[in-house]
Amino acid sequence: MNGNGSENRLKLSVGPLLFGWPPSKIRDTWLMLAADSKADILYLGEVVCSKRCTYDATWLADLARELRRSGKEVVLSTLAMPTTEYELQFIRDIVAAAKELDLCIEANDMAAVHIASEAKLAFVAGPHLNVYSHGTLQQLCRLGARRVVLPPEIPAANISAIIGDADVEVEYFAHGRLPLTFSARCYTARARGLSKQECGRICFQTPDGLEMRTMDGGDFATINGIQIMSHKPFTAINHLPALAEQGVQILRLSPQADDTMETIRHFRAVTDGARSPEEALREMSGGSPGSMFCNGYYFGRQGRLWIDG
Amino acid sequence: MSPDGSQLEKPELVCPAGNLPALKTAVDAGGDAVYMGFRNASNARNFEGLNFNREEAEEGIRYAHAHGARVFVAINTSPAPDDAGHWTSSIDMAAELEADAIILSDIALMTYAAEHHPGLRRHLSVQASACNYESLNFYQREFGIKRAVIPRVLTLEEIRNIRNHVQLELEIFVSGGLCVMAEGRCWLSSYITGDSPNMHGVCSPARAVRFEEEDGTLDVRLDGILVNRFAPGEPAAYPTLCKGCFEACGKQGHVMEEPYSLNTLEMLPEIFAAGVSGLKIEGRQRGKHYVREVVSVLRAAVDTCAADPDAYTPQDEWMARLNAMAEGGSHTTGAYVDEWR
Repeated sequence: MNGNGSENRLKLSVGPLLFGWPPSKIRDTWLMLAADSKADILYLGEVVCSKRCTYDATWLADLARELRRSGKEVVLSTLAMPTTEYELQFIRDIVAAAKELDLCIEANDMAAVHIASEAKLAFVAGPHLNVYSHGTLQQLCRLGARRVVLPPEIPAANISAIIGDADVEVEYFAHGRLPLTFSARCYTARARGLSKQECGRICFQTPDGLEMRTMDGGDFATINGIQIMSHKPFTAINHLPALAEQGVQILRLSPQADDTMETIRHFRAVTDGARSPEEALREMSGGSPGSMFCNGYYFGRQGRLWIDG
Repeated sequence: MSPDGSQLEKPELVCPAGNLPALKTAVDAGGDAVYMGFRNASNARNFEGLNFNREEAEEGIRYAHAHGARVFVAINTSPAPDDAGHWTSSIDMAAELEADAIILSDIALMTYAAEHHPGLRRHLSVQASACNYESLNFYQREFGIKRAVIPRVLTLEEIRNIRNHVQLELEIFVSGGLCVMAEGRCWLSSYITGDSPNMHGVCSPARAVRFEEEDGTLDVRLDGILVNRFAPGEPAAYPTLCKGCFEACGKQGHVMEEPYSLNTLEMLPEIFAAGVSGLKIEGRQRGKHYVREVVSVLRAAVDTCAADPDAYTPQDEWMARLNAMAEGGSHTTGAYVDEWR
């Protein structure tokens, strides 16, 4: 990055899709991201709900192989809350495919850490593994983590202390709707009066999730299957130099239905030095960032807030 | 006897002790074990006016042991970024006071405990969100976990399947407030209030609650955000975020979860047959009266079920007493029955 004393340019990753999309839309979008975007790393795979997976690990592996031809790094993401035998087997199949293709997986549950470490496969410690301290990170590194995606809740000021002397790449959730919680219950199905067993993949109808507001019409959250997310996307685009100083090397941009390519362009313009962070924020937000984005977690405050500065 | 004819183990009743009077009450009411936390950010119920200082913990543990009950100490938040001092000193104190087990969620703390206090049993907290056998076996093999508290997101069928694939003991919630999210992976509270279960041991903190009444309608806000609205005369509930009323798809209501309590009295024979070792009662934030009522009812129910599971049916009186104590005055079997999801 220019002007911040850091030698290496910050890399950009496209995080795993958190919403429910049909496989054809996933394939088309990820092929476009591989061909046309300036992202360095593409995460591919379902994190939230296995019922969305009308495909198997072979389909993911084939797509990963195609994506890799672009020269970008591809990582296979895994489920955050596997509970069934089918879901555990899906993780095992992804680990086996990743090993064959010489790719990493992103582990979002200790089940995946267990399976990957037994297979001697390096993994990315995903944002749902609760790495809040240096000691925790050291344990995951011992088990084979080569990169960590910090939980979005962590204040930016804590990052360098968590990393310490750990030999690990550091990825920060820099843009997108914040994943806030998981339940066993599908809130999309529930909001539509359906049961989880017979959901009919109704989440495919809302590719950016379903809005939940307060009873007085206030901004609150996004329903995404068994996950609740922030309604306003988080962004740290105006804090990239400070993040680099904390030791962040990779910025995760969490994909949404329409604007992922545009988001990548804005972030790349800043990391290339073509735009100042402030200019990029102004362009992205039309001059009123607080009406579009939140960033409270960056400052260790209420995640929903926008704080200038 | 179980359906296959083998003798069923009677699981132990693990009871909440938010403070010393509650601990003594739980032991007197028949708890086999109590769980408690120290008065600092190291435990996930770091609520105002709760928990134990060293002297209280010492007295509580002595009292429990004198009455044949075990004491588990919850040290189940994530340590600070580069200084785990509060957390490791809490582990040291639990060991010094001869607690019977510590309940942990963080793998760095598990490593510390294994190195410094190898003889102290390590239980896996519900805060670790371990909801499959691969992760449970991971915690057992890598960190010597002997028992795991299972998140309230699984069906009984899924718990039975886990049982068939693990060697460690399982403890499941049987009563009390229902945390419907995968605990340890819920940032709703920090998103709205800035206080985090994982970092501060706090969810939907009382300091952020405001009640505003206008023309008899009561608005309940958490850090300014409207979480519930009650019509005149309607009983108001505490604004726990996941149990609030919100609007989705043009409808207002409990979008996430109704404010019901977990009640498993009707399922005790199936729970016994699932082979769990501990039955956990939620409620460290509750007072002596609550603890006495709920522990007494569960004690009677567990003993009745153990004596003859085939003939067991919950008594109406037990149900009435639990409902009288229940949040929202009503109950659910939660995720244990698949339709809930």
